[in-house]
Amino acid sequence: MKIFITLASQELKRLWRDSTFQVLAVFLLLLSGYAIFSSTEQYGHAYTEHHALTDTARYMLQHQKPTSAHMAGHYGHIVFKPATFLQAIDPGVNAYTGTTVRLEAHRQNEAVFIPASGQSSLIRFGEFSFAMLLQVIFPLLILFTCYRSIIADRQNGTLRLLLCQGVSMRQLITARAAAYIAVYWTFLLLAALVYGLVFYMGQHEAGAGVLPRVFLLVFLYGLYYALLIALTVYLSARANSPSGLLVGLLAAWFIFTVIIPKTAANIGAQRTPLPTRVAFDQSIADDRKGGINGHDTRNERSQRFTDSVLRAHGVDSASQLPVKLGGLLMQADEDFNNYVYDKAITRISSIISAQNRVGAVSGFADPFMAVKNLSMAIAGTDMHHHYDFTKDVEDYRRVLIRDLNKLDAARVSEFKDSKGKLTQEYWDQVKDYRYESPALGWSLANYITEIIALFTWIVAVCLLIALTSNKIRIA
Amino acid sequence: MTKYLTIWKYQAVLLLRNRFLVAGLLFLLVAGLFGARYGKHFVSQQEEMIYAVDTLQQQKTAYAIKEIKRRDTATLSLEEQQRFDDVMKYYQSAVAGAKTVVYRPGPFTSLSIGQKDNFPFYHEVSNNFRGADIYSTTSTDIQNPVKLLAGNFDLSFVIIYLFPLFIIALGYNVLSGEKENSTFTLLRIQGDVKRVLRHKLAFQASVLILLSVVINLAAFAINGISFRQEAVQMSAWLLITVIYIVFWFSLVYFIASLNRSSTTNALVLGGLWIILLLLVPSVIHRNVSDSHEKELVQTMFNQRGDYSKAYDLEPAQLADSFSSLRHPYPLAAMKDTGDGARRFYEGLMRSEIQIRFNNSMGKMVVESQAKEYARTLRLNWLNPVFAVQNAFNQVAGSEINNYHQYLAAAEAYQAERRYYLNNIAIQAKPFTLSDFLKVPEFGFRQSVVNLAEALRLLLPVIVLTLLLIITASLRRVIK
Repeated sequence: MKIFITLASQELKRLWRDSTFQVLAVFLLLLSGYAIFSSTEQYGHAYTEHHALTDTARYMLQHQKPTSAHMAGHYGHIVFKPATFLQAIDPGVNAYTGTTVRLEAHRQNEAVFIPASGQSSLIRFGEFSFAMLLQVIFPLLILFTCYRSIIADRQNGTLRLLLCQGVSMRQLITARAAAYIAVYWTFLLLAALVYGLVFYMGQHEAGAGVLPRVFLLVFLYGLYYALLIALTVYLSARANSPSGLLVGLLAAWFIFTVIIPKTAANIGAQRTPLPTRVAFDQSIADDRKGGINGHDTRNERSQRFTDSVLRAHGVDSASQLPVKLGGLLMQADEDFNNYVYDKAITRISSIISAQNRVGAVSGFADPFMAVKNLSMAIAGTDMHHHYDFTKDVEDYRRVLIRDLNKLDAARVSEFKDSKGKLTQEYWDQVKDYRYESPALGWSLANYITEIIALFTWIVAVCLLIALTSNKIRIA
Repeated sequence: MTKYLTIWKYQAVLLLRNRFLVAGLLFLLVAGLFGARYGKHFVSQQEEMIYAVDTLQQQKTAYAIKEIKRRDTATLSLEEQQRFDDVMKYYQSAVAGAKTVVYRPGPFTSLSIGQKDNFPFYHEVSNNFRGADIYSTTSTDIQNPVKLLAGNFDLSFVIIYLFPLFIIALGYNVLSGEKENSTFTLLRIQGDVKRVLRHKLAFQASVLILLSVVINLAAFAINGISFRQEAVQMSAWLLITVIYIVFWFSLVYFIASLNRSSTTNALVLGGLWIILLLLVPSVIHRNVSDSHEKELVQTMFNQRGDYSKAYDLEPAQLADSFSSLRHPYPLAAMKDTGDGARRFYEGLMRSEIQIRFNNSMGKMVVESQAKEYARTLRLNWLNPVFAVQNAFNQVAGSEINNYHQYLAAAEAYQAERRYYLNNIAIQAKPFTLSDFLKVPEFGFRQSVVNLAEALRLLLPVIVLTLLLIITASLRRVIK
């Protein structure tokens, strides 16, 4: 243990004196500082804007023209995807998903106003965020700082001297790796601390469960860096030429961070293609044709529904019913549409999941993929969270429209005036939409493949070091 | 001259002997061809969708013709004919007015997809304000956001991302390698070292340029781009590629002239790759971009009817508002005082005012996006890689300004079509089949990027390249 500590502390001292490391560390600190401050500022702006828009939509809902429950259903409501603190750290797919949903009767509108669709192709170079630094830049700096860790000793002839002192190659690799891991973990913890401070000074609502997610992000990247450092130090022990090793490591970095993610996404899309919008809209229109149309009482299914209601109440005409038939028909129409949309949307989301499965499995070949997907999941900015948001919005819409249809069906109600129009009291008691992110366990449960892939990599590297280090040729 | 020919020959032999570099060249070739095939696949998918849209449009046209013929062949009494005309006047113009315009991929879109996969690529152009909005941002294709985030593996990606890496691999030890192999002294006694260095780099640049030409020509062939029709654009594309390659070689030349070790050169050039391709574009994006959500939401509120509508105007206000507009309607012809005609005139006026208002809301968003794009372009002096990507996208018609040009053309077309149809109705003429067949067609064509335009777009890159070459040439290489 003493040898281990000595080796590690010596490496830390050497690193501290290394001018390349000093330059890289300053560069890293500047970038991190910029990332932290700019992302929190952007989050603050998004947070304020979200609240302003939500308040405007709420005001418009409450102060709409006096109208019937049916017309209020057509007017609907507009809701917005909330800005979250964690999206400031890892924006994930947020730039490519809609942010605003119009809720109305008969239709399940998708989230619109995708930020990237109103921007130049500059966005395709990537969004600058702390996650970008953690996923792309830090690993590169790890390669730059660690690749000479043992090969330099081999070149200087000090490796043989070291091993003559009774130090095993395994000890040397683990001690050197531990020194680098300590440096990068300290940096990660510092960054998390600064993030927390800046954020709490900004006095924005963090939302429940942010802290454990931040810790888990630190843990995830800590593991990833430990993996990269151990592998780089091990390869440094094995390699004969520093420039050859550096070129090889840079090539691997490029393949892992740029080529594989792009290729996996494109293979997934080509293996399981999505239907065209025209085909999708046509399939919904076809399915709706056979259903109840609340606006067309002569429609065959609407007629059958009317007959069944009359029979159930034992009356001959709609005017004898205790409720208005129109409202019941509208809800029946709504239920049928929900069924049609659920079927169509489930098909689309299952195709998208199948496409993304290629990326998940590629985590076994490329740990970056596993880390990237897990990071988005922890930050709540992946596809599953977007689905959860749209599902939550849809549930809200169904309740909103169902309540309006109930009121439409009611002959008398405390929320209707003498002309059958909805009163202000009704709108005041309508709950506004509020989205709560799902629990952390739910977020991670969607990424079992990535978790297994990451642990497979860790175990494989540990075994590699444990079993083969002492067999490395010294000469 | 013979001496420099020898340098080129020697470099060729060295290159062929280096298995890694030869494998790298082959990898670039394969990646380029894959990129070309990938782009072709993307465009064919979009064309499949456009085919479906065109088919629907043809069905609409056939339906409109059938309706007009039905009216023309019906045996009606004078009174019935009058009533029918009153109704059909609006109905037929609406039938004829419903038209879908398409933002088609250009011949080079497959080579540089840019933002083409992110923009809606067809819109309903309605004659009626109740119809769909030209500026609607609803996606016209179902997309997987994860794939959009990963980006496209098209030819421009291969040129922009992969070529520089290979240039670094070729040139990082162009001078330092001689020192490290102890051949520098031998080189010095041959004469001007800097000239030898330039010849070595010129040889490497020629190899890469030749490879890029081969890849580009193969990509043109794969995507069926005809030389006869697209010679100017092809030349512009090739010129952009060459300038980009020369830019990276000028960086290598500059770094080589700093007289550092091969490892330091590799580190610095690798760092520059990251800075120019990852950090600078993303930092600039962070500073100039906006989600435009605030403006976009206004269009949604408007679409829902939250803002005052033209049909809320009193008749006197309506007449005032309409007369303040610039339009080609023959007001003198609007003289029928009958109830039906009055309703029609009012409807037309309300529709005209409302369409213009709706479009002004949409244009507000577009203007805000255009300003953002202009800010981005102004920063191209710091962001040379985006200048190159933007130039490729201009040739391909896949950048945001190209989309805005299409939207402007769609709006102009909407107005032209509306005026044509409404003029017939105002003059109380029966809407004949011949009138229908004369309805204007949408003919948007992307502006062509010629060599001069390509050079203008790449001005920051050219100036930076020249500065690097001049600075490197002025430095003393021999120490």
